[in-house]
Amino acid sequence: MTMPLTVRKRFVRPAWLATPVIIGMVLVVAWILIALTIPLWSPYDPIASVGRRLMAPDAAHWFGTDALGRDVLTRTLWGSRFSLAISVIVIVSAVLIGCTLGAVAGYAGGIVDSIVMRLADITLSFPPILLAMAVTASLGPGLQNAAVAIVVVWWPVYARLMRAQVLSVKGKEHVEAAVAAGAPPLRVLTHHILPLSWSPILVNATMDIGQVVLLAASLSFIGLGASPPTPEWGQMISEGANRFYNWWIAMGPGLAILTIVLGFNFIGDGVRDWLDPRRA
Amino acid sequence: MMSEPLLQVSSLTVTLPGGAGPLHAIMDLNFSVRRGGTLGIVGESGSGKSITMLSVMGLLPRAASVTGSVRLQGREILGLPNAELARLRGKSMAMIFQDPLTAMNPVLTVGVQVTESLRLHDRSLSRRAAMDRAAELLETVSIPDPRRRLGQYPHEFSGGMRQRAMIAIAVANSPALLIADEPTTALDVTVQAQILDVLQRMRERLGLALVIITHDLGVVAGTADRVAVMYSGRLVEEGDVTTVLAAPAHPYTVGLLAAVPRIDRGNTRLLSINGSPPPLSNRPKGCAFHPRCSVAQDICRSVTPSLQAVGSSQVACHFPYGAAEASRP
Repeated sequence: MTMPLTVRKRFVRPAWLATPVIIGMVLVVAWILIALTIPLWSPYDPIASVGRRLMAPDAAHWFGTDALGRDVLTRTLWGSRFSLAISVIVIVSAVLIGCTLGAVAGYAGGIVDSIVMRLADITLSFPPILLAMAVTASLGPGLQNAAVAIVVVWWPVYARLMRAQVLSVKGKEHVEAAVAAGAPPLRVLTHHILPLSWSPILVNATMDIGQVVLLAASLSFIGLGASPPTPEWGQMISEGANRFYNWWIAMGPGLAILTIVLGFNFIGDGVRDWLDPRRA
Repeated sequence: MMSEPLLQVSSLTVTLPGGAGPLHAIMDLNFSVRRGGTLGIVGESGSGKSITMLSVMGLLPRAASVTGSVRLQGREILGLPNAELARLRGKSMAMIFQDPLTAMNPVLTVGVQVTESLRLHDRSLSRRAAMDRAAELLETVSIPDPRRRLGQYPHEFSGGMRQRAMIAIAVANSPALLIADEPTTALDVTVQAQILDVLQRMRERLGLALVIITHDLGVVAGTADRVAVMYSGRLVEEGDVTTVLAAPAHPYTVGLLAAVPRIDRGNTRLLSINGSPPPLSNRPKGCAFHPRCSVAQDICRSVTPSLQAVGSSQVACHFPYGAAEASRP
């Protein structure tokens, strides 16, 4: 009697899935779940006074209460909704705008290329936080305007990346072959150049989400982003900044920013290794 | 009355921008390809073979200046707007590239790439009908199991299979002119013969004219009926393939033929032409070949020879072999 030969497949962890990458995924997934579900299980009301003012952390208020008696942990958890939403919206917009401009610049070349890339150079020549401040200030403070400002600061990064990718792929022989087969320029760009150009964009975008969380929080910290009752992390830290002895007020949002930025950076490292063509 | 040739190239001149001034890549080139014929263009690297055919396809970079005339099926195609050219490319003239590894899009399946060339020129073709047609095409270029192959990516194809697929893509719309730029250079010797065979079959079946760019005289001898020898951007000899290979008239062609390793001539030293082709930026005066030519005279150093009929061929040489042997000093 012959037995069917069965090979039990054991899961072999691929090299790109290093321990930090798993930690990053856990952190980010946890924050996403929190942001999505917090209205269902929120410990307290995030904007109502629920205890005595400036209570140190205890069993009822794990991260203590702030100057108005609001629960810091609750506010921190709610804050993830603003930070995640703003950073995802900003990155998606910046990627779309930057990649479109960069791809067109790289493919068309000539005067179009010069105009787009000089614009990108000018934008990048300012320190990001300074330019974002200036744009927000001119639009008026507020979370939406802060998001717009960050997109204005961020698109050139993707325009440059995309342009460089398009330039290198454009010279490949299969692109020439596609032209020789009669493909019109737009089709060559969308079917034969862009599908080979997106991987560094993805790596950068993953890493940048964390940076955008940081920049958005910075704008709120200096009073240009979210306005006071909003449980936004930068805003909360600025409330805690002048109450140094009530350290727990800034600790909650501080830890939140730390973990989320770290998480996205770890994932970005993993994505980079995963997309590495030299990967075994 | 002689019918008009399928492709007529007259006084084609290509100038590329260079750091130290313009480079004349092609100078005053004339040749034609008849319907159903096969022209082999031979020459060393840098002699302008590929640039010639790229300028026919209109694929040279915008910076290159191309003058002269290129008539395809009686229609002037040099200087056509890009949209018009795109309509001709793949439809009336198609091209096969040297390296099938890089000439296919690595992220699209072979089926998508074959159907792309079909659907680009026939918008009414449904996806399904295009797939059926693509399978037929793979079959005609002798790719076994075409249905399954259509769903695969180029990296799942061997070099020879990939070049077959490239041929399938190129002939998808039954072009009148097929240009093959060193179609066998990147392939194993055993596969080369098969690919040339497929090209010949396509030529016969579709009645297309074939231009094979190569530096392999064996390929020319096996496939072409006319041969054009290029040196440093000029045509130096053009004629019937048997005549040119059996009785070459230009010293350069003679040298090329002498340099072909022969299995039937015993263990003799391999001959080569002394020196190397001149750089485009510093082409010698007169005949560009004179510094390497064994029969060069004073006139070769000052006067550029023009193409003249010698026997049934055309030769650009002051002292061609076979013509008035007596006048040779």
